Amino acid sequence: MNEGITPLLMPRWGVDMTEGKVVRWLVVEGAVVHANTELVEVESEKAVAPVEAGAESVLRRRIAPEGVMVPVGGLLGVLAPNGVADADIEAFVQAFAAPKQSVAAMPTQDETVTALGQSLRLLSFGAGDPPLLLAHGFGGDRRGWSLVQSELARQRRVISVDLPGHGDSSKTIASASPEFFRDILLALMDALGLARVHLVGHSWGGVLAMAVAEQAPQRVASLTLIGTAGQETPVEANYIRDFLDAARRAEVKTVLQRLFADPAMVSREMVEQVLRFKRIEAADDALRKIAVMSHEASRRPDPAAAPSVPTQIIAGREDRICPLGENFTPPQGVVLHLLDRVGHMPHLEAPAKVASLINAHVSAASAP
Amino acid sequence: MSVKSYRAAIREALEHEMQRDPDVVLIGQDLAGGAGGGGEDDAWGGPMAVTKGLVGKFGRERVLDTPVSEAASIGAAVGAAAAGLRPVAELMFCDFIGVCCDQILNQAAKYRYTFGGQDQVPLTIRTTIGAGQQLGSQHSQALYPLFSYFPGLKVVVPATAYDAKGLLATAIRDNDPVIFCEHRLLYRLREDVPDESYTIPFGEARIVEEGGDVTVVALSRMVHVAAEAVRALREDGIDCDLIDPRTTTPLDTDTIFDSVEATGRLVIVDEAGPRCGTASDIAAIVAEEMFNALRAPIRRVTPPYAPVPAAPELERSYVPDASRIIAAVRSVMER
Amino acid sequence: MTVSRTIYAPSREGLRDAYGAMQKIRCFEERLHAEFAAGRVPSSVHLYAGQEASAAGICAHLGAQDYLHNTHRAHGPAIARGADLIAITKEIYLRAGGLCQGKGGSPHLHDARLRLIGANGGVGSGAALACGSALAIRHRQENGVAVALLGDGACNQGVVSESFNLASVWKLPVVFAIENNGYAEATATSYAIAGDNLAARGPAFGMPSTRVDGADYFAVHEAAGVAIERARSGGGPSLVEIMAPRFYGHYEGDAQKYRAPGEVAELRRTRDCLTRLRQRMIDEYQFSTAEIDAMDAEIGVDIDRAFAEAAAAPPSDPALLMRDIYADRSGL
Repeated sequence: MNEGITPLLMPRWGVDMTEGKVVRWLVVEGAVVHANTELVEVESEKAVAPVEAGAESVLRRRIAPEGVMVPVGGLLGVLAPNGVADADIEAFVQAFAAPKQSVAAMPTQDETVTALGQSLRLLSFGAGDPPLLLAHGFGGDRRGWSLVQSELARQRRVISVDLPGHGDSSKTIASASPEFFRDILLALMDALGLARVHLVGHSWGGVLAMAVAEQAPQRVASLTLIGTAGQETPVEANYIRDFLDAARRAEVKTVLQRLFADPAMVSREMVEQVLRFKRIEAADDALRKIAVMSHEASRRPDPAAAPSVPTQIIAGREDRICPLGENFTPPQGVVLHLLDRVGHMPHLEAPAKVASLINAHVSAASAP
Repeated sequence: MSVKSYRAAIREALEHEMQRDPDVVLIGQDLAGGAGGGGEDDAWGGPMAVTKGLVGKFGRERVLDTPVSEAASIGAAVGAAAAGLRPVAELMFCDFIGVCCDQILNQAAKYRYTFGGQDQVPLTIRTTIGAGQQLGSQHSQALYPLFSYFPGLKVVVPATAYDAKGLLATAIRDNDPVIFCEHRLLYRLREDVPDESYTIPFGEARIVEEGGDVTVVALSRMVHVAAEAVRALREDGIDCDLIDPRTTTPLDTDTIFDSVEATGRLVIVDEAGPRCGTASDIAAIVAEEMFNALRAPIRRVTPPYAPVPAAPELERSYVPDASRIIAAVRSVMER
Repeated sequence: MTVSRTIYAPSREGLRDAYGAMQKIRCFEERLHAEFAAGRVPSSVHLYAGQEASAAGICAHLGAQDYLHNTHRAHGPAIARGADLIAITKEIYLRAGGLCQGKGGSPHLHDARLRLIGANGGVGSGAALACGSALAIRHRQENGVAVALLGDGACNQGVVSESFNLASVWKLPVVFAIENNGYAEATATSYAIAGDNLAARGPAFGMPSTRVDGADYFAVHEAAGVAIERARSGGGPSLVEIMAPRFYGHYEGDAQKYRAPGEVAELRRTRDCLTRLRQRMIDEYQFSTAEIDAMDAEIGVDIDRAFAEAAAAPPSDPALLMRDIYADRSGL
């Protein structure tokens, strides 16, 4: 009798998030909603963002009033087509209990693996293989995925790694070439005993992910490229230089603001984290080498280079770092999701949306 | 990244810089200890055990134990710096500046200027500050305002292990004389600190908390006391910006100005005394530059105008505590 | 200390240089004395006349790798070390183009390229700084020495005793050269120096020590040579006390009422290092009077030019006020 009833749950947008506040409802009860319709605005300690519908339905009940705190996994509302009886919905609500395995209880593991002689720090989250492997962008680290990682981990294991030169991995890099980093990702998969993964790469991490897919398409179950420079989308020339040269807090803040559609997204903690990373000399050295190598790369990566790998591109319409340009059309077979009011950091600017896009892509790719 | 004490973070910075630059030498009393005795070498590893193990790694040629001769040894450090070395001299207690004032305030500070910019003096003087150990009037002062009086010197007052390591590396690489003030009560403070070498620029305050109602500026150990007060005030609905300038020369006035611009209220917490101190200095600068932004008189929370007493009951009432900071913040909120 | 005079006997060429330096110092100081009296010197000056053999006897042994830490009675040693006479004069006149751009003045004559280190206001600290120079020399294995010139007055400061001890403990290549001119400002050494013997303090700190007549260039030259060579060869620090009379007051304008009547005239008559050297050059080294007179004339021209250029030099640029306070201005 619950067929067609979908609970609308308090999402988890970060490892630390245990509850969220219902800021305001964006649709009235009875409204027809579509995939990606923003339903309710939720505030966590780190972000205020809308929770969206996953598919076409009707918002039948708004359970959580505005202004209240709801634990992660708690019931915010109920979606169901008009064909479902009110009584059934009431029964569903009465019977609803937060999932036994709350996200908070999911196994998480911070571990260190050695690949190609480099020490790699990674965070594993959730269970179920083949896992998602997340590759951060230039100057980022595994913590950058914190707003999407838990949502992704509802379905399967999620592994985010600090690439060499970044985060808590080896800062002294054996090489700065994209091929080296591609081989690092493959070696990491070997070290973890993973035959196949769903690869997600942001920006430079997307370049590396494309290189992995091209080199070993049989090991990539699906590919999601976020804000990634490709053949048609060069990196904004001055950004890398300005990022490298920014030494003081104010300079770093200004540079980071260029990443976001809304500059207010750049928090003090974010600036501090980037500063702490950049100030490590070996990291700075690694970044400069990577920047040079990326700049000198003889050819730009091609998202269609591995046609057998289901590939999607997620990009912000206001991305100033890797702007897609007015006339961009994705290569044959590649799906493009262009997000409004989002810049170069979709996984931070629209985490719920990005998580649902990745989950949908992964599910589709996993379908028999 | 690993959890390190403030003491270990400082030692790591010294070790990294000594590895990085063979011209970095350490000069001070009992940096190793045990010289000439029949017992162990490196018996002390520094009066505060900060330099333990370094003599084993770098030898007595680079870890130079001195006689009890602050004037000669700090003076020698100045001379060596002007001659191109990067000495790190240790003045066991800042209170002992009394016996080597000329070396620090006249020689180190003015060498470059007096000689028309011909030389630089890349000297770091590590010293310790602070009350709280019942050491009495001549081993407990926080004399950093004295150093900031003198143009030519730079003054660092790190409050955390992370800052201590990065700022000490900056100090040693800096081409000017830097007075690096370690608070003895912080030596056991522990936090995550990168294992790798890194530097933090001088003149950049750390924004410890963002609140918006009141600007609280605190230095050295007072950052932690103020943080306790700020947490308590938040429970009562008063949200403070907490700013740690980290260096008193250069002083990051921009960060303080930006905060005061928004809050209109300023409380400064300083373990140095109330007269001619850092709190007075910051108060004067803000009053002069930001008068129109102020909605309440600036309040300073400092020890009384008295020497530091030894008895624990007296010393406790000497050092500012969270309750005094809370009272000061409340008083500026009433306006 | 028994060292054969032949080892340290100056060459004829060395004597020529030494005499040139001493004569230049004497002429310079006498000219400055006159200029000061005429009200044309903008600052306080301490004249070195009478003590020339000390600076010349020491500097004869110093090379480019060596440091000389000066006293506030600075003009003589600066000239003997080879600093540019015009730049020295401009500095004393606090003008643009001075050795320290007019920021130091008479006591702080400093030339980093010559490793000539300007004096310090508190007088004794040069002893400590010289220990640092010596430390740097040893650290870099430069085969150099650091000479700290000290007045008799400075030797009563604690930092000097500390430095004697530190240099000895660390076996530094330092020579402490004490120029004992009989007075610390207006107080005689017979009052202020217990034991009235600074050379005696050397052995107390484990240092070889000697006292020489500062009116005798040859004696200074030998004693300095022995001490500098010992330091250079790794033998550690030494102390040399040079009894060198000063012919003028502590500073210009000093009425010198603390002196006995006729004292200066007597010193000039009996203990003038310059006339004694000149005589020995003629008697023992085959210098002709004409040759020496020609040197004197040449030096006179140099002095005239230095003072003329200094008087004509533009004043210090006001922009210098805030310059060179720091080497690294990041964050300031």
